[in-house]
Amino acid sequence: MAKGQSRIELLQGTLDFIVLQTLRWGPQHGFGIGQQIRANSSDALQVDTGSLYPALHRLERAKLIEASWDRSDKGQRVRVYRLTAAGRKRLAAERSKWEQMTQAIAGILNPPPREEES
Amino acid sequence: VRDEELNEELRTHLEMDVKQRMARGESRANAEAAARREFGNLTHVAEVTREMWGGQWLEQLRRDVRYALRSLTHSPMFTTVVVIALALGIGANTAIFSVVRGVLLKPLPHRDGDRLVYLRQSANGPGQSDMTFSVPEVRDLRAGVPSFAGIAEFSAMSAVHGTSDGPVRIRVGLVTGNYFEVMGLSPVVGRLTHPSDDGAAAAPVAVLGYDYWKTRFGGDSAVLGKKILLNDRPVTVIGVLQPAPFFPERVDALLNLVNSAHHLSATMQQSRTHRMTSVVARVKTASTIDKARAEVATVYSALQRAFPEAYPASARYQIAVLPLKDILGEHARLTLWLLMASAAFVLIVSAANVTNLTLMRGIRREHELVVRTALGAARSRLRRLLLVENLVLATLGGALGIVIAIAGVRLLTVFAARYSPRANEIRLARPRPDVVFPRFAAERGERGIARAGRAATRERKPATAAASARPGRSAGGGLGGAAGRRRAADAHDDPSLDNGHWSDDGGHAHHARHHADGGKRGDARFRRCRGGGREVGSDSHGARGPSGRCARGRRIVASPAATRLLQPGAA
Repeated sequence: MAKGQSRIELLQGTLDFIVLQTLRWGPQHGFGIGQQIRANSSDALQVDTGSLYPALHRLERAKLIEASWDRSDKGQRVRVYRLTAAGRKRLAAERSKWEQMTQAIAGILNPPPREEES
Repeated sequence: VRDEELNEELRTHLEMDVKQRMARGESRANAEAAARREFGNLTHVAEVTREMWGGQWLEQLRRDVRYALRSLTHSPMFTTVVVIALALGIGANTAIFSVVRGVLLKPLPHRDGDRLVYLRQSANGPGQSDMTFSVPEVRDLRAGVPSFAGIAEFSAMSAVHGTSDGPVRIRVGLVTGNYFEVMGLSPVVGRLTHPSDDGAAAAPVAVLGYDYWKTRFGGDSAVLGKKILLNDRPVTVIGVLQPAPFFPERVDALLNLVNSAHHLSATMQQSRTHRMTSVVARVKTASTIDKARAEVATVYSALQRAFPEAYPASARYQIAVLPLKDILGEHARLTLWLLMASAAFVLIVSAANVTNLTLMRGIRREHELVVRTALGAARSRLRRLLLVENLVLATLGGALGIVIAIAGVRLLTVFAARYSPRANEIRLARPRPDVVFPRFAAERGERGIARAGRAATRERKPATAAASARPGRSAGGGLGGAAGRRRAADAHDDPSLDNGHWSDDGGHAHHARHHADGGKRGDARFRRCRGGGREVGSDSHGARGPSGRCARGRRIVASPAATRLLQPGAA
């Protein structure tokens, strides 16, 4: 139990960041966000639905994203999420934090700075 | 509404996944299975998502309470027995504690009541255990004990009160003018007597006792200044005394000494052996009871030497200085503590009974808990459910206990009145919630938590031990066949399991179908998951199937017997 909790804590901030970053390309539904994260990370990152939807609803509650019911391009009723102004601000902050972090770690590891993950 | 929206959102997710897979050329069946496998347990996802909404604990608590009530009504015998056992234990304790508190523990209503002492003169011989004092003795004590701020004198007698309804016999106390000052009592209305009311020249006045004022005069302050007839003599009512324990006996009114010719007579005033005055003294703030006791002893031995005829050596006269509070509870103390001890015993017995019953019920519910675990209910969730159930039980028991306590206090007050003049102070121990409530809360809460905890530890064992010992029983043994079987079916990620929570009762006809092959599938999956996995895995594509689920799967795997349990039901 304790082990599982510490893992979620570790991931939570990162997952929120990844979700925000994904929504930067425009409004998207949950399934699409998952697909996009997977595609953009060349299948390296897979977000479990049991983590994705809690994250979406958590961000929505924090007013970093907002949701509305919409029609998909295939005419299906879907719940679409989009970034709010606060979300954009948070994303920028997270991004610079993340860059500092990766640079720092890259510096520690010595080899030339790795490309940031998005 | 929000639940429905969430379910729709998640279902849409599944559909989109299926469509995408079919677009890639998979068959519908394969696509559905793969999508579901990747999605994981829909109910669980919905649940963890719902937890993000905030304010959920209240909602969940309400659901838990509702569920607990329903599950308790399903075992009425158990509930009744537990509630009655708790109620008796709590009720008896509360009632008796209230009496103990009122009679023995509560501070006296008198101002600085702990500085009041009762002087007891006793000697060997029948009826000599508390022989009171004569006026000359009091005079000597007053002169010889500097630690006393004052000594009040009291003697009781009967009087006939001439009322409009005819004569009524009442008890009255004759008191010195300093009595109320020494006792630290105040009037409710009017005034009390002062030293100026002493002596033969004073006008006869009366201070009514609170209860007598209420019952005889209806609590009407118009009685002030009126003359009442006592023993055919008019006496002016000057005030009403605050409610206070009567000592040494219950009286209806307190009079100044001029009301009794005898108290002014030479016999009373002069004779050293004419003892009929009870004495309460107030110890000065600057002094202590011990110091006063030493001074009293000095005076008393001097008296014994000076007047040997008044204190025959053979009778062993002695004097004691006792805190008034102890004296007031003197007769009740042993009885009350015995009662308190037996009540505590009743509580222990009822707690033991309740514990046993709960444990037995826990054993009977193993199957239910196993199924819940298999459905993905976290251990903390189960623990909370059991805790809520026990708290509901304990609250019911506590509530009924309070009702019993109220009735018990009434009964005991009558009983205690025979032992202690403080019986009129007994209240259901409530006026100071800071003292009493923690007792209640601790009593109920602790027991509730302890039992839930025990049940929760049980919940771990059944999966391996007891459940496998009875493999032939249906999964829903503890729940009643149909419901249990449906839940068993749900355990296998039935796609139609979209109706929120496992406690909901939406019938799905095709569960049975899935159920038939569910067992084996589930078994295989559980075993696969046992290897563990990462949640946002960096595994290669092939390994991704189990990765998401296994975070949960671990929980499921914790009870391998659950799968075994589910299979016989399918057969």
